[in-house]
Amino acid sequence: MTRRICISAFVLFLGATLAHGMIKTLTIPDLVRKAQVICIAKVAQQSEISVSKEQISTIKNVLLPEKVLKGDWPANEPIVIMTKKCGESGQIGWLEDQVEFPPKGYRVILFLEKADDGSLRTVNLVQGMWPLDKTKPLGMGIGTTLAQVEDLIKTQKN
Amino acid sequence: MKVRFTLPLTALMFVFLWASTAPIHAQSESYVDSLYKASETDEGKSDELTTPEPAAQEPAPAPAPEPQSATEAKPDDNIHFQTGQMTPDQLEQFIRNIIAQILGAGGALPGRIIIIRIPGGGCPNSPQQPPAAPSTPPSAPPSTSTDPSSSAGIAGLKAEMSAKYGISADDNQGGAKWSKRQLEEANKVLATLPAAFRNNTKSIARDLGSDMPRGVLGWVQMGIPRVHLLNASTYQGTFQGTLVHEMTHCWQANNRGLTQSWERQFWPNGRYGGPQPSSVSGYGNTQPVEDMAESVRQSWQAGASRKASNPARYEWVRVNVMGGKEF
Repeated sequence: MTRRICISAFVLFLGATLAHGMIKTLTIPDLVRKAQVICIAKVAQQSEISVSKEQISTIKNVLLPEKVLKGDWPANEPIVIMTKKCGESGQIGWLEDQVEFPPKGYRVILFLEKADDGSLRTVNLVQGMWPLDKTKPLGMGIGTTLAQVEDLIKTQKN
Repeated sequence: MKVRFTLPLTALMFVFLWASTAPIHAQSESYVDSLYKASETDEGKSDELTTPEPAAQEPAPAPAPEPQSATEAKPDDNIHFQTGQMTPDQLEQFIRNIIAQILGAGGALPGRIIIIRIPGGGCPNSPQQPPAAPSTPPSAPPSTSTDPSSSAGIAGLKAEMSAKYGISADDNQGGAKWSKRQLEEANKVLATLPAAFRNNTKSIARDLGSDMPRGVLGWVQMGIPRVHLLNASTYQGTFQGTLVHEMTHCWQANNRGLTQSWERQFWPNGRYGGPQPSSVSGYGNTQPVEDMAESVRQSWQAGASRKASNPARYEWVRVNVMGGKEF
């Protein structure tokens, strides 16, 4: 159990303020270079585990890795990512730039890096999570193919 | 004999090459440095938002230079040349002295040195037109640097923002403070925006952003009409663009129906179905409200280019957000 907990990645996205805005975009090669783990994963579970007095929810997202493209990740170990949420997109109280996973069943590409505390987090906030439409990346991955990402990983490895 | 002419000729070529690149430095790095007031911990110079903006075309006249240590951060806001904090006249004199010395060393006859200044006007191939000449005149002259109020300093510029636009410029989290240059730029941006758009924002706060992840430029919490501009945004082009982007979120909070209309038109398959067609930037592809904020930013910052490449978004912004105003 302890090992399982240790292996699971608890990704804490935000600092104390919990409100992020417009971000600077990394180039795709930089995004790939910065990521220590890149994988395709399926959203398996999302649950609200707490709500702060400021009405900010902590969401536990469990993802099952399907294919690791870069780095090492045990094949059957779920990726657990904690995110923050306040309201729905665009509504009053909503906080910009919170990483928000698509509903259960959707597949995503994750670009993960180690935070200072050793946990993993997405590279450059929302840029590090691309929802997938079958094999076509959405979000900030629109216009980039999976094959291009794999080629970049190969190129940078050499 | 051969050496006598070759040396001055080579030196002259070097000097002219160097002089011809000076305006480029003046328009980019040194200008950026003057706008940037934070510790060098971000990567703001390399982002995709460094589109030329009217302010870049109209740099404020540089004041008389003062002696300054290269390592000491001087808290003023004026544009300096990259080399030695010189005004154009001083730079010209500097070049003149160098030529004179070189010619003297080479044994050439002394004579009059004529330096031809080629006025800088930005890159002629730039695809984006600055929003300096909107179809309707801005509510105030875009350049505050020539206005007597600019000499009133930071307090005067803050008062100007408050009086003209009803927006307070706040020094905010982490001890971040407005610089004069940043206030001038913000006032120029506000002058070009329609009042119906501008009025949704009530304050603009400078924010150190030390508790934010690297790469965050600015933020708004929907429903609170305050724009936060982080240090990472304080680069030429990025600063102005981030301001307009974040002001759009303030607009969205007061225009929910139109925001939903945007979503229906450009995200017909829902948030997880992606935009149709793609947004104007990668960040705009993350969700409808960011798509709109990015579209407003680019319509303002690069109107002609957006009108050609993404006419539906440009038109929507023009009609629904900008009150028919072209950029």
